[in-house]
Amino acid sequence: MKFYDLHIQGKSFQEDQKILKEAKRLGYSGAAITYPDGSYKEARETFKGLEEEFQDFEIIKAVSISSETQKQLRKKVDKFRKRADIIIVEGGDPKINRAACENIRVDILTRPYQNRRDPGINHVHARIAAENNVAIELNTSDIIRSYLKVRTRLFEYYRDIIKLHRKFHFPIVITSNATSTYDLRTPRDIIALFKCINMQEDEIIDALSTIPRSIIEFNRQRDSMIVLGAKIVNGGV
Amino acid sequence: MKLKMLPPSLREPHRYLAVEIISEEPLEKNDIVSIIWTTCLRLHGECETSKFKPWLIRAWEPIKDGENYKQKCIIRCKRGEEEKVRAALSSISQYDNRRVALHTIGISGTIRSATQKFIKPK
Repeated sequence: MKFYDLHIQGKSFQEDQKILKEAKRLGYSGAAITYPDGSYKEARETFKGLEEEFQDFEIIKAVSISSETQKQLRKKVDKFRKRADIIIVEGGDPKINRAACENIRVDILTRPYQNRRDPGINHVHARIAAENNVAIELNTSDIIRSYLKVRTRLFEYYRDIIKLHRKFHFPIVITSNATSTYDLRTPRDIIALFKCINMQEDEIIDALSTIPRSIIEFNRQRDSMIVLGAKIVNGGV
Repeated sequence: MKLKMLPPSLREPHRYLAVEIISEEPLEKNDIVSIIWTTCLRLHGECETSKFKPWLIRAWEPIKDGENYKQKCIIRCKRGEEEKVRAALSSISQYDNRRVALHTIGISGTIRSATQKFIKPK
């Protein structure tokens, strides 16, 4: 089975190389290196170098967008859609969470619960996210780095998100959000960790393997797609 | 006086986890024991942890790998609870204000097979 980690924070060529080597050793078949929208332009050289070095390991270019208004978010998503393989939106603000769920060009909404006292998504967000195929991210590094009250709160939010996922069937991805090699865990360990919050094994495997794979493949066909469900075959001949 | 050993039919079955520890500083046996207990108690609480019966069987010498130290060890727990112990071990990130990471390489029924399969593969 192929496992993917769709959110590893990029820093520099050397650091990224270290993390990717470790991810490969731990049993992943591909990983997405994420740069913030401000420094994505400078990261092009890094991506080229990494792709040359890791031939049998899939490297995905991802951009994480943080914005204050919905309009700004839409502009940034339109700007980066063709440049990056995966678009990740930093959530937190309810308006941003809603705008990200409504936008079909967004792939992943990360941390909708940031700086909040609730999971950040409700039944309305869940329904729109399912329609637009926007995945909600569950973050392992948040669990690993926190303890006691903070970790309990996180588990509470994750349980709520999973409850909504079971009803509305929006996609869920489990990522590491790693900044160093110490934040990575083996896929089997992650499965054991998420079993603690009453997730079924097949649900976790879907979130680690099937859904990331489908996101990557869908984005490769995105250019030739006119509308959802119709695409140009053989270059329009 | 030492208690007489239980007959085999009354003894509890065990599972052995082969664990790899990556740390910034070399860890001693006491540190590893302390890591196992704190992380199990933090994630599962006292009531659940009382079912695990965790025990550090053996810890090998740390080997320097670049900037980090890598170390392998075997941890015993009760059969049926190995997934919970595995989850607990993976949930630690810091010990004594230094970064650590624990990866479970494999689970086995005997110490011998755990060593042969995961610690010193031929």
